[in-house]
Amino acid sequence: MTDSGYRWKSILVSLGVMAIWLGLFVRLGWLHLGPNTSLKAKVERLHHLDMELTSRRGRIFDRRGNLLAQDLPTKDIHIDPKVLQSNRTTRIVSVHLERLLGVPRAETLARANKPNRRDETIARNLTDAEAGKVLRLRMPGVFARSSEKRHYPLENEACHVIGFSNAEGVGSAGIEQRYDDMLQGRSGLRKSQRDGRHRELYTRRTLEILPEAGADVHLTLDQTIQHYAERGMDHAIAEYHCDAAWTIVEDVRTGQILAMACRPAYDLNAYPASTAEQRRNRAVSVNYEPGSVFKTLTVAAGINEGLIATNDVFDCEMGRWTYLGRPLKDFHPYGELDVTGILRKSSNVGAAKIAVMVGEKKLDTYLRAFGIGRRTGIELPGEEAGLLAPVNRWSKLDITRIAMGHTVAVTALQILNALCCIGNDGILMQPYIVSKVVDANGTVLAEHRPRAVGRPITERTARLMREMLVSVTQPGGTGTRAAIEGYAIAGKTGSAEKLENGHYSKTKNMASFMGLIPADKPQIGIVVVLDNPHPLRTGGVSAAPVFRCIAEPVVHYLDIRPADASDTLHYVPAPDGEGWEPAPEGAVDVP
Amino acid sequence: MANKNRRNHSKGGSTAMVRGVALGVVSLLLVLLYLGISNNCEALGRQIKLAEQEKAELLKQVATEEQNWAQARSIRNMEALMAQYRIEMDWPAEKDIIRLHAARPDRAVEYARR
Repeated sequence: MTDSGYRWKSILVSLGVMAIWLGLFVRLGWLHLGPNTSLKAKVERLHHLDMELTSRRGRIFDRRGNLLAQDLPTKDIHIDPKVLQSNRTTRIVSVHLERLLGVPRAETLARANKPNRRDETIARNLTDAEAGKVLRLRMPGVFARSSEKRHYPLENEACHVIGFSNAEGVGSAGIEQRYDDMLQGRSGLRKSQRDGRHRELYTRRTLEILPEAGADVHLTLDQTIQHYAERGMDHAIAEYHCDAAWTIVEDVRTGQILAMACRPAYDLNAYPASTAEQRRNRAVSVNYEPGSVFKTLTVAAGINEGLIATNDVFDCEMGRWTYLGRPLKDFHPYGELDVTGILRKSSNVGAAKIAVMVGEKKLDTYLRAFGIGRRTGIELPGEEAGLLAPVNRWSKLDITRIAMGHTVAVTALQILNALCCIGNDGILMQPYIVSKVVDANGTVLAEHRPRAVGRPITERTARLMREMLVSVTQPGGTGTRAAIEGYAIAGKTGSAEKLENGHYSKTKNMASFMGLIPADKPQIGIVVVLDNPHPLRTGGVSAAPVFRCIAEPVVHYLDIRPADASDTLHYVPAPDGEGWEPAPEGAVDVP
Repeated sequence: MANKNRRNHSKGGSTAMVRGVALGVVSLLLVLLYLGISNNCEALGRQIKLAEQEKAELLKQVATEEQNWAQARSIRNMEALMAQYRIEMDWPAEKDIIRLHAARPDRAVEYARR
């Protein structure tokens, strides 16, 4: 090759290389300086980061600040099928996951058998300890992601009141449903950019709206009283074999609900496994014929109208009274009974005669004033209003049946609230279960205070009623099994035949007992309703013992003093500031 | 004349050079300042991000501990523990209770405190 040929070739190669470099520079310049809208948009999309900042759902507390519901951080275990398959570790991983988490081996193998997938969820909502067991093995292709789960520490206790929020975080029962809009927080938003490894570039943040946590709901429930109520319900199911049972404990003076329990119940942490029947809050959503507990209202109406006195005597017709050609029977035959005796023995005939004296219109007025036939307005979804037909639709016979709690239907909350009215010197209170709602900054968004909604009877009538109702739980009464040693309890039993397909069942009862403790200055009212208890079918032998089972620990817990508490030793600080000395007679307790 | 021009020219050149150097130094200082601030911002950003992560983690821990505490002190748990250790407890009879009362408040003192 000649020198000139070599030179030309060198020049050509150099020019080629220079042309390539020039092209690259031009392209680079064009990319940086030119419009390149589509490319810029693509890069923008790659770098752009819109991050939703999730908010915490509000918590639910009882009256003493005990936690009843909150969001709990959890971990989900995932696998990367591609990594497992390439490492040939699918089988060993499935064995470990079965051993540590109880995930069936077949399930892991099925999920891992998707070579195109990079992420398959194996187990959800594990605690740190549970997830830690898996992560400690450092198995390639097995990893954890943070998640959150609504958690209910009491599990099945108070389940019908608290309710649950579903997987999407929407309240679907109980307080969770009713207060969903307040419990729900507001998500925040972060606009920023990310680097090539998908990490956020803090300095590129352009917008940051912080999330707002949901408001906390404080209930009037007391976790301990609730526990006693739940235990009472378990006792009812175990001892009296009833189909269902429910109970409510109410503060007589304020209308606050201290406990509300139902059976069947369900575990709030495993709500998907529950049935509709288990989720039903029977305490507010079941209308039932109350039976003899209703005589309390009939007699209260008669006394308040001045038509009867506690010692007025009625002929109870030896248990069979024919009114308008139709017979009315007593469970046991009685001759003459005074009004107290009518309540103590639960005479249908006596109650019917009192109702006839009161008259249809007045009885209807009293019952409605006691809150029968209308919703109480408690903050729980699914509340029923009960059934009380307008007085102009009553048949001539109805007044004798309504007097003893038939042809009328109530919810347990309605009848208990009416009894608490008697305990509260005739003032009917609005029952409520939410005391306040407080947002994350401590601002009170809603606060419920005791509210009187009416006064159907006078203070004197209420006192007389309590005195008469005490006889029900004393020897000779129908509710002696509700009695607690040392305490005077004003109560009433109820047993009503169940309505089935439009007919009264001869074998199935709704048994109930409601009572006020202590009778002279009532602090709490309790109602217990048993659906079809057997073989013991009446309220006095089934619901009354359950009442006692709940009431006995509650009076100790609330430090309700027995009627005769004179043997209690009282001490006050010694004047010299050292030690204590017996309190002088008549010393007033200082809370 | 020519000498004079030459002298003027050399004086003007050195002034321009001094100005150029000064501009360069100022520019360099500005660049260094910018880089310093930028690095500082980056470092602060990293710290904030770490603090954010730490806060999130601590909030999770608080929630978990609150949960554990709530469960631990529930009467249900206490009853389970008592059953586990075979401890039986009952409420005291009224005669077994000694009530201690606070001293009766002095009305005059109470009034003065209002």
